[in-house]
Amino acid sequence: MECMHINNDKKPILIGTIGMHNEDLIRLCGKIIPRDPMLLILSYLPPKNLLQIARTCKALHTLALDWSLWQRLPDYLYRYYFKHKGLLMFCAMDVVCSVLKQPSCSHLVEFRMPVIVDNRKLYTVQKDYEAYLDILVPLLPRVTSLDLSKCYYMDFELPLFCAYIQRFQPKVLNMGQIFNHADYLTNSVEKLTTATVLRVSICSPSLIELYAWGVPIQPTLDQCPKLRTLMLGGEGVAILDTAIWSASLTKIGVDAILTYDAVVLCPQLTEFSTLLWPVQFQCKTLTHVSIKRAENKELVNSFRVDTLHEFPLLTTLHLHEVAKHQTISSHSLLHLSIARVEGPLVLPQLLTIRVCQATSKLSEFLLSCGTVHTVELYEGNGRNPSRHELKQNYLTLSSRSVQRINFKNRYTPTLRQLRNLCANNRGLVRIHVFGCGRGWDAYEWNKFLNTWNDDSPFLVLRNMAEPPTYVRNALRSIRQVHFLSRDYDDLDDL
Amino acid sequence: MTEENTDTQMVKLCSSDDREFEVEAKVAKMSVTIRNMLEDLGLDNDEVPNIPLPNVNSQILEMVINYCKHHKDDVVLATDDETTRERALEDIDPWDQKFVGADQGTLFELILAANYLDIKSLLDLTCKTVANMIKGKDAEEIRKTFNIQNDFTKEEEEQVRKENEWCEEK
Repeated sequence: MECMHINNDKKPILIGTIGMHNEDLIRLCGKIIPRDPMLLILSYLPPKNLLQIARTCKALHTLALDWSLWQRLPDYLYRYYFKHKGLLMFCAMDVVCSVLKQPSCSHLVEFRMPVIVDNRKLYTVQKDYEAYLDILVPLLPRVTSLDLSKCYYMDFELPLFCAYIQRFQPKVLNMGQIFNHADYLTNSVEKLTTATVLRVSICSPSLIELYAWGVPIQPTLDQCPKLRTLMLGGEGVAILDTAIWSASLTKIGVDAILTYDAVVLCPQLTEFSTLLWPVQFQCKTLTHVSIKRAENKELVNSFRVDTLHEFPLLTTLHLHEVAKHQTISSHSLLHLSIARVEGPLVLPQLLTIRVCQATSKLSEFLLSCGTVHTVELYEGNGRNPSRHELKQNYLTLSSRSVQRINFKNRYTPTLRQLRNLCANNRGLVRIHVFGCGRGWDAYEWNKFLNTWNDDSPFLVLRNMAEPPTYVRNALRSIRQVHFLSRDYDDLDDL
Repeated sequence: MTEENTDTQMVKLCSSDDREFEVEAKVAKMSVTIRNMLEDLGLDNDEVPNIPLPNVNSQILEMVINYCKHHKDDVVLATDDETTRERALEDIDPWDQKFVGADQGTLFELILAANYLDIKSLLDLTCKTVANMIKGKDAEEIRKTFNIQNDFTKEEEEQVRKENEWCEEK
């Protein structure tokens, strides 16, 4: 967003990065529709549809972001301002305040600080930043989570700033990037005595320099007795290789640490997420492990999934990458998420499996295993199979025990694929489609209405393109299907 | 003249293509624009007033008159809160559905006529119908449906897509 304007009626208009366009000249089907009826049409639409409208052309982009349309949805307006990255950057203070004063904002528990208010880059000047926090945070009495991640702390007195932040008694704090502070963690973070969740990215050239000179860097979190979750990122983290952890930590998320001796010192650690799996890592209390990404193929290959038995309590494992043909073996694992099953799985207790791509190996496993009750096909990061592959794979997904299949990959299966799934998965009782695809044509809908009956699995269709009205009416009389249109209630799931 | 008498009096509506339609004043007065004109003219004599409507052609005017005749006895309800609006989008009565079920060109002409004549219920109905046509469609489908020219550059399109990303996250 470029700026916030006040028009003649003193109504703020949100203007997109594309700039303002003459929305009086909107043509639909060749007819010029004046602004007022156009706004009336848009007023019937939920936010998701408004944003789709904003993507059609410049004039509708301006109109769909009209203040009047968002004013009636303060919850979404709030999100629009503070979650939406573009709008997050540029706000007018009076608008921010008026949004936060809306009754429906009073229950909000999370606050993300805008970056520029009234055209001032307040994130660079500590006094400004504190002054605006003083105004904004009290408007949200229930806020316990502060997101200050866009702050540029270069010229901040970080220990003093943390002491200031503590006056809001945050439970969850996202500090963003911290750098150029050798005493950054020990002297600063220990002021945050109420924090249970701390997210910080340490990008400190000076820290790395100190380390190179042999200065020990062992910040301690012992002064934060309530801290349970620590999320660390940034290059500086790579050099923190000793005991920085508090005894109370149960969840740790880290980027780029190469040695993990420190993690072993957390006696109660149950959840651990990382980009790279540690070379030597033992923690017998772990129940949840998530390995988000490994860009280095060698590291992918070095991750030995056959050592999972070293974590006897492990129930949930999210792997984005795993070397091909490796055996994944665990006697405790209940939930597995993996981009693609290629090697053998020895998981006798497994209940749910999430995959980007359903391979024949997956079907092999499902047919031999009698415990998995849910399969979820999710959308991976850049690893999505082509439409053709999806078609092939869905047709071959077979199992004995699967009761539920969720399509969370924005793909809407065809009716034929659904029928094949039913035939090849005899235990199936529920299919959930979160499709954002084009939906079905009238022919397919007619066929569906004629064939989906009380013996079919329960089918939830969500986010699908709207069927014709007669189909919507007919769907109401089929017990085994639930159609949820794309409306703004869907946003509650985000 | 009492209001009841004025309502039964006939008025002549003249379309842009010079066709005349004689309707009861009660029907014509569903349009705020016509009601104001009639008030300005005064209805205290036996002459049938002639109201020129240069922005509405005879085909659309005939449809508008049919709509007004059908709804002349409707009780007007205030329906402006959000939940009612959402529900109202689904609930269009069968006669109205059939009425707006014509081609899109006619639908938009009805919107323009309802806007010009200031007939709130007709404007609501036609706008709701268009909103229903938009609902659930993505940007490309909306463009196709309404023949909208995409005037974004590729970069701009990407930028708008990024701005809207928060709404598409799962």
